[in-house]
Amino acid sequence: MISAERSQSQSPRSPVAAAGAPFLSISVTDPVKMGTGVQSYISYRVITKTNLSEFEGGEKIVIRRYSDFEWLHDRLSEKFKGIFIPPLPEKNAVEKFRFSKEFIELRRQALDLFVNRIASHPDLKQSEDFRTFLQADEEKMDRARSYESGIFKKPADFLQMFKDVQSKVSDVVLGKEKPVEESTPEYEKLKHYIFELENHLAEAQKQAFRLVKRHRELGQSLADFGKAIKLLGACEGDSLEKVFSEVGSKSEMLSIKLQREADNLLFNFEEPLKDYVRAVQSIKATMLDRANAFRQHFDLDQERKYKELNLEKLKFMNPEKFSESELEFSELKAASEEATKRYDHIVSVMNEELARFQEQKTADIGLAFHEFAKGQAKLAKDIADAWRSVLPKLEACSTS
Amino acid sequence: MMAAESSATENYPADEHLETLALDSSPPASVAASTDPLLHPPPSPSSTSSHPAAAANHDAFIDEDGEADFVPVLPTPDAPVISREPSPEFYQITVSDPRKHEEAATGAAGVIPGSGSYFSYLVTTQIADGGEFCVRRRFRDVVALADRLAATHRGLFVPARPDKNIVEGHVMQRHDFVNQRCVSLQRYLCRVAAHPIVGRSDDFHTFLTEPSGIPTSEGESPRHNPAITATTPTAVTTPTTPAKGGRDIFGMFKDLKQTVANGLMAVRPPPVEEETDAKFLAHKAKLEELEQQLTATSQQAVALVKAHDDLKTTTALLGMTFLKLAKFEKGQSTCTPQRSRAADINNFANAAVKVSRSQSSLDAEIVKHLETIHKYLRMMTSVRNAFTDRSNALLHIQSLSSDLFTLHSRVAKLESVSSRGIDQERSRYQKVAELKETIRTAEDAKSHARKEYELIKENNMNEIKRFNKEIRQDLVGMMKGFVINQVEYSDKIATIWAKLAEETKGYADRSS
Repeated sequence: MISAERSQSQSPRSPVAAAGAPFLSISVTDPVKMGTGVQSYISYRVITKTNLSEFEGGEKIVIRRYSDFEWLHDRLSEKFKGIFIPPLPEKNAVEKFRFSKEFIELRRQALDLFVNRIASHPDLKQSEDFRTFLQADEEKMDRARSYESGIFKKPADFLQMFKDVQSKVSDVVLGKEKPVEESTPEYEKLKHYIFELENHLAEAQKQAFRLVKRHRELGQSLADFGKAIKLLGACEGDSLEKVFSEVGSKSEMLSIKLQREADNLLFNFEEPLKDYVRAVQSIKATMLDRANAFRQHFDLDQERKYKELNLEKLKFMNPEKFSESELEFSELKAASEEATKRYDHIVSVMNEELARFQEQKTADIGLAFHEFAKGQAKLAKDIADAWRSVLPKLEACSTS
Repeated sequence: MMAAESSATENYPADEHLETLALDSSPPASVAASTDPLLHPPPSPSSTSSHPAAAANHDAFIDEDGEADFVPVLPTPDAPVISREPSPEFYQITVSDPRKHEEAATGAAGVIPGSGSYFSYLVTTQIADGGEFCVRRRFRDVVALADRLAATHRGLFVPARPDKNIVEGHVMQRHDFVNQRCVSLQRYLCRVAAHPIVGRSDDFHTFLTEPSGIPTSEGESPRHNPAITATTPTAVTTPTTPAKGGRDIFGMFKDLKQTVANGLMAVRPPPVEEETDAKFLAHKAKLEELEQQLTATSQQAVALVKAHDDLKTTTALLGMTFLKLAKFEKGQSTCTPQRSRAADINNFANAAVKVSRSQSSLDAEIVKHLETIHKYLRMMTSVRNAFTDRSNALLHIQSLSSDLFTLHSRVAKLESVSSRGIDQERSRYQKVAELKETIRTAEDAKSHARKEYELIKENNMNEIKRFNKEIRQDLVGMMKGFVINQVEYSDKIATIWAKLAEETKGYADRSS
């Protein structure tokens, strides 16, 4: 059973709090396969312990499945534009691996990290949806999930969608391939950085995955070699047989250590790298939101300016229409200011988030390197020690 | 009939032979060591220390049974090597400089373009006193030499020559094939030179030194199984591409695979014989079991080397990838955490690259050590051939016995018939006399055949003893070398990672 738990990293896990101090501790545990065949899925137990007043009580246990986590992620993405929403593990794994022990455990850990990151984010943890997720009974959760993911959307969203479509249409009609983008040198640099970073990290993660595989392969061949050496020694008999038998046993023992190290690498090195990639993808999603917000702000702003000019003309030329138009204009002005505010908000939040991201990732990757080095150092030492222990017998054999 | 007996009498425990050796003003030297760095490990600490010992032992070398006190040594690629038995002559043999020759070919060969050409190889032999012989030989010459050695050293574990690899004219011209042939020829000649008896034969000496080349034997190779030479599977050796970044690990095993395949294929059911020597049969059975285990171990050794190599490659790639990432982060850095992260990534990447270098060196060592297994696996062909010599010799005696039996019966029959007149009497007498003459010849032949057989039996036993002793030493030596190197490089690698773990300790402390 894979028990390699990722060491506690900085903020995502709830710290041990002094008595009386506010605390919120969440864990995602106990993955259980539910259902059969094509409709089967994994359910998780989400345990919340808190003394915060916003929550219903001391301890709450609910059962959640992956799509519930997805729902929460989507809700937060909707409501907290500008914030880098903590990433979810990938949805669809290749069918046959979907229920492998490693996959299930990796997913559980990633989901645990997800909720804890939300809990430690000053803004996200205030989310009502978050509280729903943690506390609502399963029925209520199901309803919430189908309601939100369906066609039912709030009126404000309709307006949003309509405006988006409009912009898109106008772009197409006007022959613009790309929507208008904000383009300051600083933001350009950031965009370039994020996109390039994703490539680098994806490659690094790929190599890490390969390294895991190589450890397993070496482990296997060492075990086979050990067996063969034992049999070879048996042909010769006497002291040679004994010493070769020991060499064979050491090989087999080291093979097991290699498998363990492979597991360690999978959980404590490759997975953090994957997590890093997901985090970068989350930033890209935020950048898309920012681009949309910018476009709205820009379009409405343009429209307002245009209307303002017309309004002046209309004042003199058509006084009756003027008051009607004036009303429209003030609505437009409000919407434009609203859009600009939204955009500005995203920009300022993003800047904070970026600073947070840089710090967090340095800590995360630093820890991953540390775990890697620790594990590899121990493995190498174990290998050296194992072989060293056989040497005296080999020496004795060669002088006899 | 029998092949030249003279060499067959160069018997193994012929003390006189070895004493002659001692009389040769032979410095404690070195036997033709293979200069093939792919195959022979550098001197391990234990072996270099035994060099002086070997020299000292040179005279106290021979004990009663003719079994020498062997000093286990691993030959070096560069330095002179002291082997188990001092060879008076050959210091180092190298095969190089393949050259293509166009030969006017007749018949069908002349019509097909390219088929009349062949390659010759430069065989350079250095001898103890510093002299050097250079001769040009073609593969055909080597085949002839091998046949001749086999014929004149029956019962001994004569090293098997490289395969013919019957290929079409075009394939012959491939660069890799010719180079690989250089390697395998060199290895073969060195192995012959290392054999205490065969390495000192006149034919071998001639091969190495006479510019005119040796006469081809008249297709006379009583031992060589037609199955081996003619129907060699056309595993036309497509030369393997060398592994990236260095050694052609798999190329060197390709030759081995071929040998093993041939060996397995060439096993014909031995002729029905009445081998009654239980001791011999026990040894034979043991050797057969050994061959099986050598084969299995050889396969695992190849797989192990590959796994090691793959791990090294991936570690190196991991390092390179992170180096690129570090450079990228550094170039793009806008804040302190980013800069320090770039530095961390760089440290990690460098550690990974360093480790991969150690792994690479370790791989090279492992390959050399495990080569011992393949060396002995290749030898099994020689062993089998030596045992076939024995059964053939026994068969020969049996057939002569049956001939004699027939002859005797005919004589008895003739003598029991009463003659019916002077003429008949005379002719009968004549016939009997002829037959008796034939019988005498046959009995001479049989006695000679028996002597041959006894000789071969003795050769077999001595070679078995020598083989058993050597393989034991070599296997232990191999394992020792393997283990020592594992310890050495694992310690190095542990140190590199431990250092990085220490440097990144802060991140663990922070999070706990």
